[in-house]
Amino acid sequence: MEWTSQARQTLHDHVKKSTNLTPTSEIYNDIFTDLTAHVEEELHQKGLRKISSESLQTVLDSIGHDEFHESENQDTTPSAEPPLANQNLVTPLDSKGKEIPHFNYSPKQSKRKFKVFNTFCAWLFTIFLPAVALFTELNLHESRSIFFDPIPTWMHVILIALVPITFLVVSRYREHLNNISHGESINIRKLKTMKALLGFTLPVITYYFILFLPITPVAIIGCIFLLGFLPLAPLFCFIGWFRANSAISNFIDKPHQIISRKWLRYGLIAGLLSLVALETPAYFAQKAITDAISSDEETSQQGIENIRRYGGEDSLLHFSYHGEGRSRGFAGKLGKNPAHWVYNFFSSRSISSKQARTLYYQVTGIPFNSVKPPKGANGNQGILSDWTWDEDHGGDEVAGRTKGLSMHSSRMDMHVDDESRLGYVEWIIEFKNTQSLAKEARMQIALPHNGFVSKLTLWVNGEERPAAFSTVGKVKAAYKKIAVQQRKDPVLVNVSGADRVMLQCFPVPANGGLMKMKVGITFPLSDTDSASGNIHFPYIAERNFGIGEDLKHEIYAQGNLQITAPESAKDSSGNMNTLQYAFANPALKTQYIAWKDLTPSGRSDVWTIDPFHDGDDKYLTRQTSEHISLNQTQKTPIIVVIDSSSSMHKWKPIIAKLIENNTADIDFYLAGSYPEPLVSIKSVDQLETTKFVGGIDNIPALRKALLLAKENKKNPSSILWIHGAQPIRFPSIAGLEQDLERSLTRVPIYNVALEDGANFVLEALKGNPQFKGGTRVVNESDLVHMAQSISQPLPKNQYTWTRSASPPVNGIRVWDQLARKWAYTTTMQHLKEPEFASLPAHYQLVTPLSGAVVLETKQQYIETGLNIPTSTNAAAIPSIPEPSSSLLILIGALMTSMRRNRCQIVVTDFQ
Amino acid sequence: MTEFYDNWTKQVRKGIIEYCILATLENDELYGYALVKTITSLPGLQVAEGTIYPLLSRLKKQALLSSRLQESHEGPARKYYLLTEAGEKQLGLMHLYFDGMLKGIGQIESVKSQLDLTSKTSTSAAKNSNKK
Repeated sequence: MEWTSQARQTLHDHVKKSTNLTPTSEIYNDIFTDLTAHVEEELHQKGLRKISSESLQTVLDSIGHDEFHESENQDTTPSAEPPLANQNLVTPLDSKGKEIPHFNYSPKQSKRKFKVFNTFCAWLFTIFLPAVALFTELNLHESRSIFFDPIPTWMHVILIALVPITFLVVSRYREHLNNISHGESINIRKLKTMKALLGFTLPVITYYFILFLPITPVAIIGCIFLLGFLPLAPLFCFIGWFRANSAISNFIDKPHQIISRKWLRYGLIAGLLSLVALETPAYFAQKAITDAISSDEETSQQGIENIRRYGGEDSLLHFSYHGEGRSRGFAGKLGKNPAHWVYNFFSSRSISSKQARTLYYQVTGIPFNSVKPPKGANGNQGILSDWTWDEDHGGDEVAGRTKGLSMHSSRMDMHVDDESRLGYVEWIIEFKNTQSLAKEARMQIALPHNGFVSKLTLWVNGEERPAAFSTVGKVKAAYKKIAVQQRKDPVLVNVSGADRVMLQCFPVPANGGLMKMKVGITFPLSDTDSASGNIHFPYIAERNFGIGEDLKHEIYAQGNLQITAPESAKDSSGNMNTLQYAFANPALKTQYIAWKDLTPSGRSDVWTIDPFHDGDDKYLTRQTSEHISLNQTQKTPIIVVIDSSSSMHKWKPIIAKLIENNTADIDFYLAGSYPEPLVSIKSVDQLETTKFVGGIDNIPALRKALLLAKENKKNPSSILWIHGAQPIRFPSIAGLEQDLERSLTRVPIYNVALEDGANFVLEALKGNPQFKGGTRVVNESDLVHMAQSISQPLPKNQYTWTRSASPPVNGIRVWDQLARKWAYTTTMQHLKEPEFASLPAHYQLVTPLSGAVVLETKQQYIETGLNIPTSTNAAAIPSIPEPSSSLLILIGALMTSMRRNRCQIVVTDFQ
Repeated sequence: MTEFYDNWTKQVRKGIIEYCILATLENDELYGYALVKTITSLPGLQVAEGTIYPLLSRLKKQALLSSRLQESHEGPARKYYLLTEAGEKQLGLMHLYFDGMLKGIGQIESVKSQLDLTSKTSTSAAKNSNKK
């Protein structure tokens, strides 16, 4: 109903006259409110919407006066205010002239002036402090890095931001109330809004107050360092809320207190519901995490599915980046979300970083370290983040990304040799560390197929130092002693799987320091007598450092055959024998150089002077025998095991191509999770409709595939394992190792890694002759060709190695990489035989038996029992000889061939 | 009307109106307007609407009534009155008293006849003493 101000005044006059009461008295207000309602009801029934003095007077006449008031309605309540007649009573109207719902200001108590000190405290502790705390947490993530993340989502940020905003609005409203006089109108809508806002913020404030309660004592001590005030913000807000609410209530008369309480309740319910809606999924996610680490398979599987449902991935990532040592204690109880924190606080189970990493992979299908650390997680952001310790320092795993560590430069120099059909690439890498503590760089390098590391150097004080090669145990012990204990300059390279090595170096100096090293890799151009092929680059399969988008791998390739850069290498500017260009890191895996022998000379013997051989028969000859035509009347059946982890989803088209080209000799299976580890795939449609979810442990599938492969004893199948990363050391690996070692039927397993990342299956089975590396898949047809080569292999060269004390008469002299290739082949064929154990180290090779380490000083080599390395016989990129030089070499070779003295056959290589 | 009558009806009605207010709210809550209309419609009470609101306020102050505001779909917000526990107790006592009083009023004649007997006995005794 709309009242004219005159009508309102008339009603006041009427009440005053009929009651003889002052407007400050309760009874006056009661009667005034009752009469207002009565008048409105009466006129509403008459269809009136606006109350004028005239219409009011009509109603008042009908109502009449209180016949008893003269004797009894003498209110004795003393009033500190002047009589109503002196007040300026104005009915508030909106812009359209419509009256705004209001009541007349009439505090229960006498008006208290808003004290300056109170205002200051209210602003400081309930507005400024929570706002600063929120801003600080958003930027520095201190709470997140130490305790839990109080603002895991933007909705949390909004909820918390509402607290200082509400206090600000309420404070302004209090000031407004303080400045108005008795009897003046107070906008009811505003009052309702204030109360609703206060109600909304109460659950939020209470929740955070309880969350931060355990650290309140620490925070109080921390107040000495000023920062302690921030965790106390919820406490101050909690106290401030009651003060603010009571201050508002003091200005409200009794009937409107009922309304205000109602709106307070509405706000409170809304706040509570918002909080519950926000936190409940996180709570269930945390419960799912606890279920997922259960030893019961079924519960665990259900837990994993629930983590996906409720979104616990972020929390798992948070746990994954927490150090293992700490996570078993109090830290293991902490979570990402406040709800996680609450759940874990009351839960008896904690999760270790290893469990979290396993779960993260199982839930998402991607290794945790392929994702940047969450803000505030160990090693990332926060004031103290520069000082966080790398939990995996000196370990065998690449593990998570290290903040501030990056690849600064990368250069590859390659030589490919036509006669020996060998290539050699030197990869010079520089790491940079912008943090305040020295860091360890770790990476897994995927080598060209059948490649091996044949050189390692480290720049120490600007000088290139060669590596010592020794047994894996010795070099690892030396690295740990020097890098971890003495924190000096070593670099270590070890085999971590088929066609894979692990490189780790320490320390990459702090504050922008650089660490530079060179890794030399020898690789065969082809297994067959082909006159052309592709050379793939070594690439980074896993790393703990960042690579900037602007980093380019500088490539230089030379060779005595035709080499061409891929079409994508726009900067290519080579001629027949050299090539130079650069490309960004993501292309490193897929780029290749095509080589072609324009003048194939047929199979020719090649020889070299073996620089590592101690005897007189240092002339090592490789004879290429006639091609062996393998009996191909019966094709080898293949069992294809496809990793159905989510990261493999994008490879479905390439796998579908393989299924389409199936010649009925291939059975396709998906590696599934509990309870069915191997699921048969009959068609492309079935593959496409099957959802690849989470990270699958492929070992049970491989074990079952092995059983299937051995069913046909006359012609056992080969297994082609197409997979992504297997970043978890699942305990089932021991069973697979046993299956491979103890089985009488040797089933080869060819592995094709389509996705990067750690692969502990490859690492565990390194050196196992049944476990073979696969080709790198770049094109759609690569998998098909791979399957064909397994099913019906092309004829391969048969190499026969001989030694002699004098240069062989026939054959072409080639570079000494031939000797390294011989040593590598020999080692790989005799991995289990002790007499060959020292061979790879002697030839300065990194194999499953040997590793390489560069130390800083001679003393360190002596301390760790390693031979002091020299640069003698080190592999190098040969310079391209001028034509005249080539002629001299040819003449020399012919002359020495006149005095040939051949020795026994040493090794036969069926590569 | 005489002044006496006016004062007397005033005194009687005040108590009765308070009783009527409480009795009207005995089993149901009513908003002010409806309550006033109900009370003023009671035949014979002859009370002005303006009289009831101060009484309501006073009863409320005495904690015999309580009130609540409720938004109304049909019109302006309504202030509902209802009996408090104390109000219910007081109303119970008032019922007893009022019933007793009405009963007593209803028994005037019978009491009077008893009083007549007493009156006759005392008259004859007076006559006897005069004889002596």
